[in-house]
Amino acid sequence: MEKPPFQVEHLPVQAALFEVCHFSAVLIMLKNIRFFVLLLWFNAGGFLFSAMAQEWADTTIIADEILITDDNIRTKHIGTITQTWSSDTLKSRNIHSVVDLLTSETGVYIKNYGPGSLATSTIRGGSAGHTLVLWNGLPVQSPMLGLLDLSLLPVSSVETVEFVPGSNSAMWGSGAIGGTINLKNEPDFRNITKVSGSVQMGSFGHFLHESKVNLGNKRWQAVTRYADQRAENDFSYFLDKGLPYRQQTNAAYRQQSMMQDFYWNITEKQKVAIHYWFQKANRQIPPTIVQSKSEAAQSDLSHRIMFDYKRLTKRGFLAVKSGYFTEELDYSDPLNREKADNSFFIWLNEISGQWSWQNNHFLHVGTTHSFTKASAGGYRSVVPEENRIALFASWKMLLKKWTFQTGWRQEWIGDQKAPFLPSFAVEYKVSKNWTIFGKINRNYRFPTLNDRYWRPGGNPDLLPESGWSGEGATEYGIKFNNWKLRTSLSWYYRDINHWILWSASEGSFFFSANNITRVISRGWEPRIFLEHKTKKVTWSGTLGYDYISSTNKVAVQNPKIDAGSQLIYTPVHQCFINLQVELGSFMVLVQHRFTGETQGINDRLPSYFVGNVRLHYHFPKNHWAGSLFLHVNNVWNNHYIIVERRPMPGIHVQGGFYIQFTKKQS
Amino acid sequence: MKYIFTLILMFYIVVFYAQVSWDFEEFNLPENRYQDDAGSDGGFTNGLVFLPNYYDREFFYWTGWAVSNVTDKTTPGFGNQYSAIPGSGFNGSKHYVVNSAFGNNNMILRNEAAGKPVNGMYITNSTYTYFSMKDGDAFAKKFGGITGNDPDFFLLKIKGYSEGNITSDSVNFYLADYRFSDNNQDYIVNTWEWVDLSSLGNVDSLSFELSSSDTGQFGMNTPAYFCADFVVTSGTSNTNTIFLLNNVSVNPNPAHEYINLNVPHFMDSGVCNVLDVSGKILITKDIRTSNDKIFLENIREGQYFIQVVYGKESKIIPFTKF
Repeated sequence: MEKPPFQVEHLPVQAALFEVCHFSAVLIMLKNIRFFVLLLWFNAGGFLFSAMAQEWADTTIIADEILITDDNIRTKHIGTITQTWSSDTLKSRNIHSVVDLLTSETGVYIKNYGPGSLATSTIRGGSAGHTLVLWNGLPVQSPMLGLLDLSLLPVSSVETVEFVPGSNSAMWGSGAIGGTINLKNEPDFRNITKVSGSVQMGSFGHFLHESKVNLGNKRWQAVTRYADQRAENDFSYFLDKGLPYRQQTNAAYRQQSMMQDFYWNITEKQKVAIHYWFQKANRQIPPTIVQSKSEAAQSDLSHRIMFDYKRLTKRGFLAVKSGYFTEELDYSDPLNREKADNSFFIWLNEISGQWSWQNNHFLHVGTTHSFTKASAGGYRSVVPEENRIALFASWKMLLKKWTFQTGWRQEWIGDQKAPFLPSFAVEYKVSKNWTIFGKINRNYRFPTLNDRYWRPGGNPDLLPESGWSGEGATEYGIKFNNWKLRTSLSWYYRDINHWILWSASEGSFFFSANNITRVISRGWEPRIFLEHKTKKVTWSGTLGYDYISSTNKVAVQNPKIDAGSQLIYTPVHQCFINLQVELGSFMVLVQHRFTGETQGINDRLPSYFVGNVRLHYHFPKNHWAGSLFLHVNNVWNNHYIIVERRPMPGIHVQGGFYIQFTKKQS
Repeated sequence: MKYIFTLILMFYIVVFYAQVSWDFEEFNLPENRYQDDAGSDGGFTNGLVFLPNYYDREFFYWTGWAVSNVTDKTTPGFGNQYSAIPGSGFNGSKHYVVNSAFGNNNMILRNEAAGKPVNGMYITNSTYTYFSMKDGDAFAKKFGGITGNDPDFFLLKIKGYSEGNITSDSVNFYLADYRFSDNNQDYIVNTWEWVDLSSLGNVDSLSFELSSSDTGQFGMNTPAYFCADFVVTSGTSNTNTIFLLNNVSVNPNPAHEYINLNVPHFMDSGVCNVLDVSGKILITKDIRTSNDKIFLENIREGQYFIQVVYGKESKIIPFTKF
C-alpha cells in the first residue's frame, strides 16, 4: 500500500508518493506525504521440525498418501532447517492459506492488515521483498512490487508447502534474502481416483468451499482444484475504554481460485507436467479506526500457466520449464473518485541438468531467462520491459559424516551485471541423533520496477541490495520408550548494504528510492518438540522463540531513522507454543503466540497474545474419510492490532466438514 | 459645482501610496480548471506578488503554488487537490491559489511591495485536506481520534523575511484546532479567514510552513495543502484598477431603516461616510467589523453615496433611501 496510483494529469509530490505506496502497499514513504507503504511480517505457532512433523503427520493422519519428492539438489537445501507440509497435513489441521500456515506453524512475522486484507511477511528481519515465493520452482511475486500478497495464496492449490528460512540467492536469485516459500504441485501415480471437498462457515459471514478431483492412472494424472472463500468481515472491535464497540465496514471479500494439473509419463524416463492456476479476488478496503468510512475496493486477477518437462538419465536428469504469468490489480475509490489499474506479465524459461558420479557427487547446472513487461499509471508513458538471464550451478558432495554443498549464480538484468553469488554449506552428523550444519552465502535483491520507474521517485540508477549472510544450527533428536524429543537452535547473521529506502533528501521535493542505508540482522531461533504416545492418547507440544535484531546502521533524515534503530514492523521477540492431544478420532490443538512490541510508522505497537483452539473429529471408513472441525480463534478475545490503525477481530469461530472418497483403479 | 462633484464621485478615487490587493482574477482560467505549471517563469505573478511553482515535466508532479478556480467542495481525496473548501475564491470570486507545501514555501514581494509590510491575506483549507481531517483517510487520521479528544491541530506558520533574515516572529494560523477541552470548540476552517500579517513588519517575502499533530516517521500524514486569496500588500495603486476596495459592498439598496456595509476583514480600521449629492458628509462612522449597519433614520428619502475611506484610498457607492 497502500493509496493507489491516481489517474490525474499532474500530481503533487504528496499525491504521487501515495500512488507508489498504495498500489504498492509496499513502499512507504511520504512526508507530508503520507505515505507509505507497506509491508511485513508476524506469526505464531508451531514450528515443527520438518522431518519429525512430517513423519508424524503422514503416519497418523494420512497414511495412504505419498509424496513424490524432488531429488534436485537445488531444492534439497542443506545448511538450514527446512519445514515441509503436505496437503494432507494441512488438511488435517484445516489450514487454508499461507498466512494461516506461517502464522500457526512458524516464527515468521506476518504483517496482516486484517482478515482478507493485504498480508506480507518478514523473515529474520528482512523486508517484505526479501521473501521469495516459488511455484514449482518459478518465482511468482510481482516484479512491480517485488513481493506477493500472501493473503491471496490458498494452500489448497498445492500439494506441498516448503518453508526455507535464510538466504538462498545463490540458488534462486534476486529476493531470496530472508527466506523462501516453495509451493509445489506433485502427482500421485498410484492409479487412484480421489474426490474431496470441504465446507466451512463461521463468524462474520465467513464461507469457504474447497473441492479437489484426482483422476488418472500410472501413465497420466489430472488434478482439478477449486476454492471459493468469502466473508462479510463485519466484526465488531474494541476502540477504547468507555467507548462502544465499532463494527467494521467495507471489509467484505471473495477469493476464488482454480488450478488444473496434467501429468503424463511419456515413458519411464520422460515426464511432462502442465499447470494452470487462476485466481480472482475482490475485496473491499475497510476504513482505519481513525477514518469515518471507506468505499475503496481492489480486485486482483491472475493467470499462471507452466510447462514442465523432465528427462531422467542414468546418472541424473534434464529439466525444462516455461511459465507465463499475468496479473492485474485494479483499485478504485468512488468516494474519492480515484481509480488505478496496474498489470504485468512475465515469461520465464529454465533449462537445467543434474549429473552424479561415484554415488556421492552431484552437479546441477542451469540457465534461466525471464522477460517482464508492466503497466501502471505511476509509470506514466513508460512501459518498462526487462530481460533477465542467469547461469547457476550447484555441487554437492556426500561423505560419511559430512555433506558439502556449494552454489554459484550470476545474473544479468538488461545490460546490468548483478553481483556474483556464491554459497557454501556444510552438514556434519555428530551422531545418529545430533547434526550440526551451517551456511555462508552472498545475497542480493534487484530493485523492483516501481523502485526504478515510478514517477516521481523511481530511480533507474539504483544499485541492487547486496550483502553476506551466515547461519549455523544444531539439531538433536532422540526417541525413548513412548517419548520423542527434538530440539534445535539456529543462529544467523546478515549484513545487507545498499538497502533500498524511499526517502527525501535535503532540498528534495519528493521521496525517491535510494540506496542510503545498511541493515544488519541477527537472531536466534530455539525450538523444542516433545511427543508422547500411548495406546489411546498421543500428545505433543512445540515451543519456539525468535529473537530478531534487525537494525539500520545509517541515520536517515527523512524518514526519520536513527542509526542503530530496529526496523519498523519487526518485533524483537516472538514466542509460540502449540499443544496437541489426540484421543482416538478426536484431536485438540491449542495454539498460543506472543508477539513483542514493534515500531510502526506513527506509533509503537504494543505486544499481544493470541490464542486459538482447534477441535477435530476424524472418521476414516473404507473408501471414505473425513473430519468435522470447530475452530475458535482469538479464544481469549484479546484486543490487538498488527498494523497501525487496522483493527483485528476478537473471538470468532469457524466450523465445517471435510470429506474424501478414494478408490484404487483396477 | 455640485454636479461636477457628483460626477467625480461616480468614479472610484485613488491616490498615492496605499495597500493594494491581489486576487488572481486576471488569470482568467476556463471554468473549473487549474494551472499547476507556471512554465519557464518558475512561478505565477499577480501584480506585486510572485508565487513560485515547480513543475516537473518528466515526473508530472508539482509543488509550490497553483492557480485554480475549481469549485468542487464535496469530493474528498487528493484527486480534488486543487479545490478550496469554500468552493470559490474569497467573497465568491472565481480564482484563488493553492499551495502544496512540501517543506517551506514562499511568496515573494516585488517592486514597491518589497521591503514593506504585508497587510495580510485570506486563507482557508483545501478540500482534500479538509475532508482528510474531518473524516480521515487511508493514511491520515480523523482529527480528534477515536474518542474525539485527541488534541489535534493543523497549523500554518507564516514568517517574514527581509534580505534573507527573519524580521519578526511568525504568525500562526490554525487551519484546524482540536486542542480545546470543550470539544464543541474544535474546528476545521472551511471559510475564507483573514490572516493579519502586519505584525511581520517590512518584508521581502513570506514563508509558509505547515505542521500537524498527525505526524509519523515519514513526516506529516495530513495532506500539506492550503489555499490563499486576496493578498494585500503595500504598493502604488493602479489608476485604472481599484484592487483594494473591490470587495466593499452595501445592501439592501434601496434601503430604508439601515444599510449594511460589507467590507473585507482587514478594513476594520477604516472610515465610512454617508454623503449627499453635494458632497456634504451627513454620517461618519468608524468601520469596526466586516459587517456593519449604518442607520438612516435621520436622513430623508433621496439619492446618497457611501464613501469608504481606508488609508489614502476610498471607494464611493451610490444608494437610495426610500
